[in-house]
Amino acid sequence: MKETPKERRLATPETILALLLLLLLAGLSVASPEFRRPSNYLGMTRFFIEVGLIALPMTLVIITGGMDLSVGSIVALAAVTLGIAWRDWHLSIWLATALGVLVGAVAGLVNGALIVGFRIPPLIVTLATMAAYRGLAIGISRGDSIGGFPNEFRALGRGFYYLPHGIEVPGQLIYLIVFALLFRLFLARTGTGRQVYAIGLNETGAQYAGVPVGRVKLLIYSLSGAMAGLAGAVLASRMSTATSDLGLLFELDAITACVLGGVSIYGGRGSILGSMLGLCIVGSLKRGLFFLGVEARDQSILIGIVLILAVFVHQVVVPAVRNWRLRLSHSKEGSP
Amino acid sequence: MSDSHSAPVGSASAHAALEVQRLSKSFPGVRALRDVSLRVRSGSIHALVGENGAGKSTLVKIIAGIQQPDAGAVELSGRRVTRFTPVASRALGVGLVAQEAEHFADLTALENFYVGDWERRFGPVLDWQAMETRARQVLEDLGVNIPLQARMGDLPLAQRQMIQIGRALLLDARLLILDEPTAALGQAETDALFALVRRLAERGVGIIYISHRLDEVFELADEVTVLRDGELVDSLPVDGLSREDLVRMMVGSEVPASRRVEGPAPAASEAPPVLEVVGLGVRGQFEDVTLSVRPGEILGLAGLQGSGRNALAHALGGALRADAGEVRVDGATQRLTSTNAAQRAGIVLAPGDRHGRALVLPMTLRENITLSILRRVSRGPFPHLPTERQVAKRYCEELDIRATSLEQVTATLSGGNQQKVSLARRLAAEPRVLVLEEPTQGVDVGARAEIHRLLRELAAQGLAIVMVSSDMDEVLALSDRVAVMHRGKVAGILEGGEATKEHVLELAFGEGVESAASDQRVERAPSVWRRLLGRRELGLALVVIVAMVALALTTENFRTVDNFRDMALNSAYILVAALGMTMIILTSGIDISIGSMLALCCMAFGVMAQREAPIPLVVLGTLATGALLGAINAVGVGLMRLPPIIMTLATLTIYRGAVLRLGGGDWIQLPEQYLPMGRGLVLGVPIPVWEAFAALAVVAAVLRYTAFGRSLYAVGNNVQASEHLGISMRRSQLAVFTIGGLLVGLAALAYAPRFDVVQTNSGMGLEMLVITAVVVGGTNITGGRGSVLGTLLGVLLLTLISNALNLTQVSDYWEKAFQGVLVLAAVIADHMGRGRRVSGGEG
Repeated sequence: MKETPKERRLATPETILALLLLLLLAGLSVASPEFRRPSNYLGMTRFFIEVGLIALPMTLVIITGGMDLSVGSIVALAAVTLGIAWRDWHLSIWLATALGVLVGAVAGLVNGALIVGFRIPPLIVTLATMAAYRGLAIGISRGDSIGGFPNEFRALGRGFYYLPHGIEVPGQLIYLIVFALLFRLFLARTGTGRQVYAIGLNETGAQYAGVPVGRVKLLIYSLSGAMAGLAGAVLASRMSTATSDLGLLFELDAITACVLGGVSIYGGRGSILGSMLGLCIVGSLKRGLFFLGVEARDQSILIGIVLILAVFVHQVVVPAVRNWRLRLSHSKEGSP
Repeated sequence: MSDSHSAPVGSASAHAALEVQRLSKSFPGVRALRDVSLRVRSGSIHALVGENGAGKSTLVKIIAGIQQPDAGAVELSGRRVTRFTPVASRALGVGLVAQEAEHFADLTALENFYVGDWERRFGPVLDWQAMETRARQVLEDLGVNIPLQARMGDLPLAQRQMIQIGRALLLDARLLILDEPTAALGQAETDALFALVRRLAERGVGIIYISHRLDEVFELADEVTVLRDGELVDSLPVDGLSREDLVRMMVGSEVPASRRVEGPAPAASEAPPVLEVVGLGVRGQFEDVTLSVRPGEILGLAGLQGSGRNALAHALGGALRADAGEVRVDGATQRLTSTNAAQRAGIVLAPGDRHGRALVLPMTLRENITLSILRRVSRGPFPHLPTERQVAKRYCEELDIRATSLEQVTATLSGGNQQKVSLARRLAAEPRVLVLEEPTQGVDVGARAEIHRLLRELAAQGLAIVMVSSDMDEVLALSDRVAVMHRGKVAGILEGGEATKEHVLELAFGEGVESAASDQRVERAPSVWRRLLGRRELGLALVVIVAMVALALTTENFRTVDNFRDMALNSAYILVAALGMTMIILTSGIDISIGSMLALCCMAFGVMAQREAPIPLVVLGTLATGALLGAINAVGVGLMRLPPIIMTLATLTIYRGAVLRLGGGDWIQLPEQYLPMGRGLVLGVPIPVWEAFAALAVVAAVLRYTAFGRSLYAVGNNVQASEHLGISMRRSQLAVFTIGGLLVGLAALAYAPRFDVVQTNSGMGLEMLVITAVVVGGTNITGGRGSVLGTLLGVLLLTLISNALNLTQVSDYWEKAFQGVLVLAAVIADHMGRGRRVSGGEG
């Protein structure tokens, strides 16, 4: 190791991403007067908090070498459950919200059980449950949209907090920050977090070290479902309606944020901070493009391209360089 | 053999079949071969012997082009090998019958003969008849009878081996390498094989025969070459050589019975055993193992590869679940259901394979050492860094691990130090019994001595150690007692004094107990499930028919011609797209962008139609659009090496965005004259249905009758074996993703002109429908197995289901949920059918 620890800390993907984000924000601010309105910087986060809530557990899922494509459908399933529980079963709105999150957690647990119990690749399981959960949402809502939620529910997705000087902070930004800190604590500081990395780096090796691989995966996929459920509630509140087509393509945005943030799709590498930076980049890019009059369809084309490039750079280019450097240091070490 | 007009100078027999000159090869940390030379005459049987790790496999792998030498030269029949690739070596006449047969389980026996070297009738079309005739000839020649149409995976190992030998003959091998071919054969099969090998030699084929069974060497070989520690000991004729001489050459001149590593004597030989194993067995691996280990004692486990010694170690460490017998620690019976449970019981396994099992190499030293004891070094849920450091530091000092810091990445350490880190982790768990597998494999001499001294010290401190090693010297030098395993049973337990190399080898080779009863453990009858699934199409066809009859009886509307025509129209484009998906999934890929692709192709169709382009041009343009979009996916997957699901997830949105852009968010009205393409009838059947059947026929023919089609199955079945035969995964994926796109273009032609307008949301959810159909049709989601007929039936079944849901007025709100559940059910059924393989076991 020739680099000093300090140099290494400065050259992390996170620093590079942070710079990239600053550049992007600066660029968009120059280009668009709406973008540079002071209220926008915090205000626009409202549009990608839901994806952020999903990207947090997605980071864990991808670090274990898995993938969860069903999250967008769980968003809809949870939102629809919430709506029906409140409207038809006359539960209080908060009890209904809790039920929605619970349904999400169960949906995630089912994913985990299928992945662990039958050893079917996560991609296949969640691709199938992506259809199944969306279908369930359509089925129980009969394609209906449920609205007219009580006022107190609006706080979840439309509320504000005020900082000194009258700076408005969208309520859900606070939730995201709190959850991000919790997930960071979990991933970077707990024993289970360490085991998550171990599984992604070498599942067999982890198993031989006594890591309860199955249990860790169950936990993570359940978390993924629960957070998608929560995102569903926030989204329903923000949109003031719960329908079965909420959360379409959320999995794409969440995966893009993670991968852009340096989470390796082959597992073992990544951080919450990275994913959150990735999220901010994707989110502000979308928002900026919107202000610049780029339509949603073109935004999605762009996000797709960003995903391809991000994966290519992170998974192919960076490892190639790393390998090359490793081999270089090995050959120096090896010759007497 | 005397017609010499084809040989350049002199006759072919003037050259040896193989001439190896001063070959050297190193791996990180080990010199596998040093200056080895070898000459194998045409028509002779040349035995290659040596202990495990002597360099035999490396030598053979270089000759077969699977590994590249660092220095030295290889000549085959007088021609110098310049490129060491499997394909080049094969072309020069090398046939390798590997220990672990590289076969394609889901292809037929006949295909396994020919993968990569197909016989063609014309162009790409395969000549199955000629192949079958020749294969039969060869088999007859070999005197064996193998059902050529049987699935390879269902055949017993002996027959799979015969097929590999037959393959070498078909390709006219001049040098045949047999790597421990009798390891899994019974007596009769062995005799037949010997007769065959002799006949081949008479025909002038040079033969390298690797075996651990010295009797076979004396029975079969003309010459023998002995390797030891990667170096050539001698090459000499078998005539006049005695068994003792040969063993001495393998073992080395100094017989190391007295070369014990001196350590303190075992603490208390009267102490009660800490580990007692009674009648332990794991089906298919070993049985009825009874032994015990006292504190302070090192028990060596010796035996050949496949004797069950490694499996026993894994069972003790909880990595392999035993199904008979019991294990007691300090007198208490323990259930070793996982590595965790074993650790709690006080038994810890240090597995041999450093890269895969023993360590998580990309983690730091500290992380690796504390990975098994996270709870102990944590405060609440949080690992406490200072405590971790303290533990890691203690063991680093105790084991003298040389690293720049505790935060060094383990992968950057030398092999010896890595091995010590693995030991450190196990010791940190404070076991009563330490089970070691190959403790010094791939470690240099100095580190090896150090590890040996360490193990002795640990034993002196009262630890009980069980050690598996294929290194005989190591076993003898360290063990207080040696348990020798042979074919899944303990052949004998030797006390210190009796444990000489000759004695151990004798037990390991199983003199006298030849053709043991455990022969049948190799073969396993194909499960009922598998047999059922083998006829999945049949079952599926029945389901389709039953569903049709049931529908016809219960619902009147079902029986109408109109309804049938509707169903056919509705499934035609799905079938076309599913054909492409079948090919993609066969090669272990997946394409979830096809829905957007279909929409984009429909858009292209609409745009061209709006400009009133002539129909042939519209057709070509639509197909080209599909092929182009598919090619973009192909480039991402095949060239940029992105995982298919990520690439196509990205293009799913990109293509959909492009659709909206092209359509301007609006639909496109189709001019009148294009509509017959979608609605017109030919012989009473709608044109799209004709298109679907044409595509079905072409794809079925390509998959069945062309080299390309068959190689898709080969790649999906066994990537590594395919690459060895010159079939590239990446090239296959480039092709199938492009073809998949082309077929989506065709699907668009079968879809778009059915309606007056092209909508931007067409094809939404198509990928799910198509994947469901393909998987329900029996195509294995991880590749290698599947059929077009199955896909057709899958599409029909889905169509019937959706038709039934419609007709019986079950709300189609539930259709999507149903699809998801159906895919899951199909995948789970498929998975259960394949059965589970035991993890762990022989490294």
